[in-house]
Amino acid sequence: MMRLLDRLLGRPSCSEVMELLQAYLDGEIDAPQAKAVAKHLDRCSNCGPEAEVYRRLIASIKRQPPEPEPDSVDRLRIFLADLNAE
Amino acid sequence: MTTPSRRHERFAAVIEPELPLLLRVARSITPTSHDAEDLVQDTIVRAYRNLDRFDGRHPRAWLLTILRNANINRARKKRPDLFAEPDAVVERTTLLVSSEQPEQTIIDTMFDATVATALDALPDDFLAVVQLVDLGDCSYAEAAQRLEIPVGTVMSRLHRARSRLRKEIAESELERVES
Repeated sequence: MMRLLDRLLGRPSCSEVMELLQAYLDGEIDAPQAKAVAKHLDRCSNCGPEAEVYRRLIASIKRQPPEPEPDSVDRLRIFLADLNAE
Repeated sequence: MTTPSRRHERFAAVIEPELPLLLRVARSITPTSHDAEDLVQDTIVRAYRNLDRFDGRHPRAWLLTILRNANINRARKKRPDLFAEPDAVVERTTLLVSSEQPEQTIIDTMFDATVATALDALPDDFLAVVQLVDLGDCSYAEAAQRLEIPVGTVMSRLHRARSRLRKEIAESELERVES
């Protein structure tokens, strides 16, 4: 019913929103499309939580510290081996 | 009763694969890489002492909890004045660790650790796009230019990369619920 209503009103369906979701989260779609996606996410119990997971994921990627230096990992391996040898 | 050699084997098998991740997480909560290394050493020693109490399930979650507690302890030793009043300890520990609630901080740490592991497993061409767009704040067009690929390819690689990461998160959260 909702899908039919969406189609009649020219609103994006769940699959269309999922197609656009990454670009929407990255601010890479135009304003009218972004508005339509935002509205859909607000009222859709499937797509809204899905978008939230991706928001958390992107925030987590942005929080990731740089790769540890190989020397640090090697020193810790030696420390571990020494402790284990005691 | 575990023999010492079996105990050592088990210890190495549990800890060694997690060293890069522990170091990365430690780096995210300490001011310098030297502090991060010290913190992981503390974590290793604490894990060694408590190995008999570890049930063998979810070693990463076990180690990250030890790391988090070791960090709180280090903060307490560095600034004993902050912990002079027992009633204020919990509140101040929270402030030292993060502005959020400690439980939330641990959940975030676990989540970040899952994401870190999943990022490590991404194919290089996917990872390059994620690094440029998510870490480098590049637009799709900028990423395309830097990688000399069409914008559509940036979009599809990013979509597939994030879908993989999302799948890893779902599996990891399911494991945690089942444990």
